[in-house]
Amino acid sequence: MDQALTVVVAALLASGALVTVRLVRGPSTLDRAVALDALAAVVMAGIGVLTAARQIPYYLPGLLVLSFLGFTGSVSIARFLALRDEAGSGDGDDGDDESDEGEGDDGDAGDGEGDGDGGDGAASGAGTGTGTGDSGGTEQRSGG
Amino acid sequence: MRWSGTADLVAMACMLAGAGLCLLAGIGLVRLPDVLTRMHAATKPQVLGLLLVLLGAALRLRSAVDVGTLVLVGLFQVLTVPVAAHMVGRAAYRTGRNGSAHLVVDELATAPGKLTGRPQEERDG
Repeated sequence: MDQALTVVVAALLASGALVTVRLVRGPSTLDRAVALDALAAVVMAGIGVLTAARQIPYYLPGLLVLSFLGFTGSVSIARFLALRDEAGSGDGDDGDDESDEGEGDDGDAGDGEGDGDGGDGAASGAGTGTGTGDSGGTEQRSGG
Repeated sequence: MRWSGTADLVAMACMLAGAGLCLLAGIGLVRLPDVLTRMHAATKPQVLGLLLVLLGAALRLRSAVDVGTLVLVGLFQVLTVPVAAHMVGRAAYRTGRNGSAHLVVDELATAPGKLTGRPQEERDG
């Protein structure tokens, strides 16, 4: 049993070292995010092995916290940091495109306004349509 | 206590398998070429490896509260890892780091009403 435990700990240490190599060397931020996720998983597995080997449950909340931490870090990197990293590196075209993509809501709102200016008749017609719909709704509500 | 001895053996086998999956993830992260393939390697210890290790720890601890906490950890991991991997993969595709040289088929590039890839030029043009 002790030899098996030694093998398990050696495998976990080796995998942690390899994942750290990728964490240091990774060419883009996303590689580092992936490696950080894997490193969190390896550390969680190490804590699980420690818990099982010594049969003490005091590290289990730490396991839960690590799970939260890995998820939050990976999502925030993928959502906010990767696009900035891409804009900072050499190919600025992709970076500009991706920053536009990141603010897709603003872009869509701008498109909607542009269409309204281009076709005033259609926009006013739509406005009156919604207005009558609203008044009908209030009439129904007042009647009921 | 024959049952506890058997449980210890099963727990050690589970932890060996989990540690082997972690080692595979380390090797894959170092050797594979781009973000998506590295994600493929990195998800091995995040789900199956960690669940095996947690199962081993649960077989060693054998108390209801500790097993409940371990189940909670495993459930949370299974819920959150796909979300994080989805967001990382989407960011990788949108920043063009999808290893286009190794892609056999890229269905997102020809999908109707797509929101990724290069929509700005197509919308403008």
